[in-house]
Amino acid sequence: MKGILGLYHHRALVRSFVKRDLQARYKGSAVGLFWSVIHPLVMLVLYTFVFSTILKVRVGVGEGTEQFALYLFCGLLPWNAFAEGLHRSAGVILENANLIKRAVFPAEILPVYPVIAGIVNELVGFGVLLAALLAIGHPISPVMLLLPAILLLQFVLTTGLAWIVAGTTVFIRDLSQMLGVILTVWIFLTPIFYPPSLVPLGMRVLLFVNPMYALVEAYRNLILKGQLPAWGSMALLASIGAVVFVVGYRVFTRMQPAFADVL
Amino acid sequence: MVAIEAQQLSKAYRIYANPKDRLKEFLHRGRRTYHQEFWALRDVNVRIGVGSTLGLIGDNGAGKSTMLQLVAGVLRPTSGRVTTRGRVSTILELGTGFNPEFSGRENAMMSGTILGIPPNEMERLLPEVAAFAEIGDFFDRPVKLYSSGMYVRLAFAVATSVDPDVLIVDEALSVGDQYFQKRCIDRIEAFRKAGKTILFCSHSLYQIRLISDEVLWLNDGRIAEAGDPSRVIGAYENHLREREIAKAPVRVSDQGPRIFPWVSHVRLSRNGEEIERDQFMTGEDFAVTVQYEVPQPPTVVHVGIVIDRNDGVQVFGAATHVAGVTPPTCSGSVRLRFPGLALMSGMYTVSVALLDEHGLHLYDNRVREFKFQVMQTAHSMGLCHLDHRWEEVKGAADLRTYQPIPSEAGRG
Repeated sequence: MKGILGLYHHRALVRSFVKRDLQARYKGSAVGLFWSVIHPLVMLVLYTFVFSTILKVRVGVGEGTEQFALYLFCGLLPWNAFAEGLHRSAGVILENANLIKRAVFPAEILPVYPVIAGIVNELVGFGVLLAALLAIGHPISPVMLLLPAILLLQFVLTTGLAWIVAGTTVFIRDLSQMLGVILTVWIFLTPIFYPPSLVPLGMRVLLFVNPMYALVEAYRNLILKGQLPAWGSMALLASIGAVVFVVGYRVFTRMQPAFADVL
Repeated sequence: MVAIEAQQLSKAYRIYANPKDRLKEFLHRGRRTYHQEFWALRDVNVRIGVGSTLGLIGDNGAGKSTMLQLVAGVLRPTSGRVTTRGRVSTILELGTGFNPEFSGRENAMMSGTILGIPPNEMERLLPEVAAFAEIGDFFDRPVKLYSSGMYVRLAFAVATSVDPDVLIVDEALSVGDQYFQKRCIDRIEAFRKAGKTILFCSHSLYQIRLISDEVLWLNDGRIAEAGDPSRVIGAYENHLREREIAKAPVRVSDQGPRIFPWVSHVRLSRNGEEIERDQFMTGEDFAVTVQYEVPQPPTVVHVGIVIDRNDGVQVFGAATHVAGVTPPTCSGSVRLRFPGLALMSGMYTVSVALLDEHGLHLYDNRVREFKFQVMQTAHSMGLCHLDHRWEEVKGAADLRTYQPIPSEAGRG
């Protein structure tokens, strides 16, 4: 609760960090922010070319995989935002050592801005996806109005983990490298490149303890299938997210006083 | 009322030989330790009243910055505690908490937000910040493009525009040109007059003397002396000079069977008094009496005397062969007198040498072995008291030609 209040209190600060972060990415380029649209667009076109035109992938019929490129794209967007947020939060305290060592700075907002920046990029990607869906005449369902709720869950989960990662990396720098490995393993254990129906029954338990599976499925349900997500998995995702958020905030604020000593 | 209070304030840093040790210690969960402790600050007790200015002095690594960071709340004390009253604004070293990618304006806004100033109020303060920093168009460019002078100007402008109750300044004034330093000092003066509390450290003892109500000298993380500025600064200056001397190699006189003349006694005295003393006032008659032994008389002996300040600055030297004086050729004494000692307050040393008839070979050399202190009553500064007088310039003609000082008036 304190975490949320703190973030709200410093919302102006968070906003300027996110803004600066997004601007910095395309700084000096001629079309600027337009690149954030071009990247997902090219990705989508390439997926379509490779998976639908060349490989003609047809898996898990009835699960929205008819257009495999769209299926993959819809799963990769939230995953990329999640992975990018976590990966960048690992270095965020070190990058801003100047602020921590020389000012009484609310360090807890630092891991949050890469998370938000990632989600903003995800939103642009969803915009491209929606345009593609409209272009091919795919039905757009009103359940999509629930997207903000899922985005919020994603934010809560990612922020909680980002706090833990950001704080721990200050003391154990190896975590940043370790994280790359963990995220690679994690993405392949999450049905993003394949539909969940292909997972052997005995291993399905892995899916249910994986909050990213619940999250990716929720997006696919809302956007591709026009269905409400399964309430059970949503409740689980919400509880995992809440626990991770609270624990993450506690862990981070416990470590925070020692940052200035170590940096 | 107390604005800043530190009680048994101590700070230890953990030093790990390599990053692996930190991980190992973490995994052992405190059952084994892999670090060495370094105490940057130890048991510091300070009370700074509201409206008073405390200057912090000390060698590099004495704990000044650590102390300021603890008071600012950037570092947490290892033990003891520090409390502050009101809004604390800080300019720590080169660069406050600025984000290099943000523009000056954004950084100013950010600093304001961190200090808990509502955005609209900070918005209102921005013109004043920009005006004081005098960085022109750079105010809207990323801070990473700033010169170090611009950076400090902005930092100072932001820190002082937010109406803090306590201002902490670490060495910031040593950067920037004279003009800016002057404006900083002016602003700090205005703060003092407005009853703000200031804690600041500088290597410029001149600035410290100028601004501080009280001075704290830190040495190896502990308080060496605290209190009245001129007393503490004087003590620190002595410490600095002695440290300089300790570094310089001292020539030791040759040992062996005593066939050559040697100095048997050196007496520092005043106005022909019998008693030896090591404290004198500026303007007193000062005398150095050198007594020496000549084992194989008659031997021509010349006496050289050098006075140094304890930072190694040579003040004066005189020798009998230069002056055309012939001291006794058997065991005896000579005296060098200084009517109206012109030295200003400080610690000084006397070196005495015995030379051969040509003044080339050293029979005995007692380098800086005899110490004395000079104190002054007048508020002048420097190494020695020069004859002087002030006069008003009357008109343009007086600027070009002026009368020589009558010889009687020039001498005290």
